[in-house]
Amino acid sequence: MEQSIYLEDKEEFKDGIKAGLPIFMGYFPISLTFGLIAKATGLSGVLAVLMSLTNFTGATQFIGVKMLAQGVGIGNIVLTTFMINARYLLMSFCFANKLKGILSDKEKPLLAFGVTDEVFVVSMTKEKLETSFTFGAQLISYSGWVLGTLTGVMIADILPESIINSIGIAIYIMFLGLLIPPIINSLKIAIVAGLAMFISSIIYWTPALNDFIGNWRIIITIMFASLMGAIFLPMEEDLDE
Amino acid sequence: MNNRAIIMILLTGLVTYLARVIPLLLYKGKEPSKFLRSFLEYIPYAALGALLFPEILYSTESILTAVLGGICATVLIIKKQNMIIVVGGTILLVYILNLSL
Repeated sequence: MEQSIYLEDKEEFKDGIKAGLPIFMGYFPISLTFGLIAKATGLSGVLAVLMSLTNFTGATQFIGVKMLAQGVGIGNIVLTTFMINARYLLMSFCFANKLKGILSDKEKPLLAFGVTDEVFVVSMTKEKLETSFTFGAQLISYSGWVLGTLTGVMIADILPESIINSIGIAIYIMFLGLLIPPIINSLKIAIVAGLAMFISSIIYWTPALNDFIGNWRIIITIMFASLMGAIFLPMEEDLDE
Repeated sequence: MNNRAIIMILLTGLVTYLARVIPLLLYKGKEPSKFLRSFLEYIPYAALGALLFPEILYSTESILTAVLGGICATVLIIKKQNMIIVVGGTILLVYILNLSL
């Protein structure tokens, strides 16, 4: 069935693969690092690859393995994941809007799986979007994500223990890598992220608050900082842009 | 560890997929409000901020090496280096600092 979906428009599908090549190049090193970090936290290589195969999402995979290693409850991890990935609600809405009348009911569940920030950008910046184009971009992106993870867990097996032990900071470098570029581009995002750092630090360093809130610090901070942002600094852009 | 990990992976995969598929299945053409859009768009950045601070300070053997590592990574990211170079370079720096401080 997938075959027939992909072959619907061969040229568009090929164009999508071409447009997705830079995404492949971008995903590969990130998911390679995910493989390394997942192994360093004690997750098995098979499970690290399984996570990339089933989740196919950047930040929350890093966050998930980190919280799991810290002993945070699964309900807490799942709720955090859902909140961070709630932005996909908007992106899928834009896909539904842009592919109105083109996207068939059969294709919806498959297209949904591959909605990522980068696939969203290459699809939305295209003037006339065809479903096959997005499928092409998604296939190549997904390959980069899974192959990168596989490579990462294999490299982790041959790296010496001492290097694996100094990898603790790596996950924070990944967070910096995801956060700094948008902060440079948007003052509003910089303010919201700065506010979140401030609230998180206050909770962390106030013993009475930390004892009371503990592992819910991240969720409470996300809710509060995003709410402040939405109230006082609403985004200007339209969804179609 | 393994059972918890499998349950976590499947559940996070499920909620992530739900966020991706629900709008496609329920699309009626009504735009979400500006408030809701802004709220959803800010969440990932708020999350990254909360996860970074203050825990990055305790991610190495001393706060000083963590700060130096963080600055090194930030400079490399601003200079648009590949993430492998950013991560590899910073880990190397932290490794050397841990040996010499």
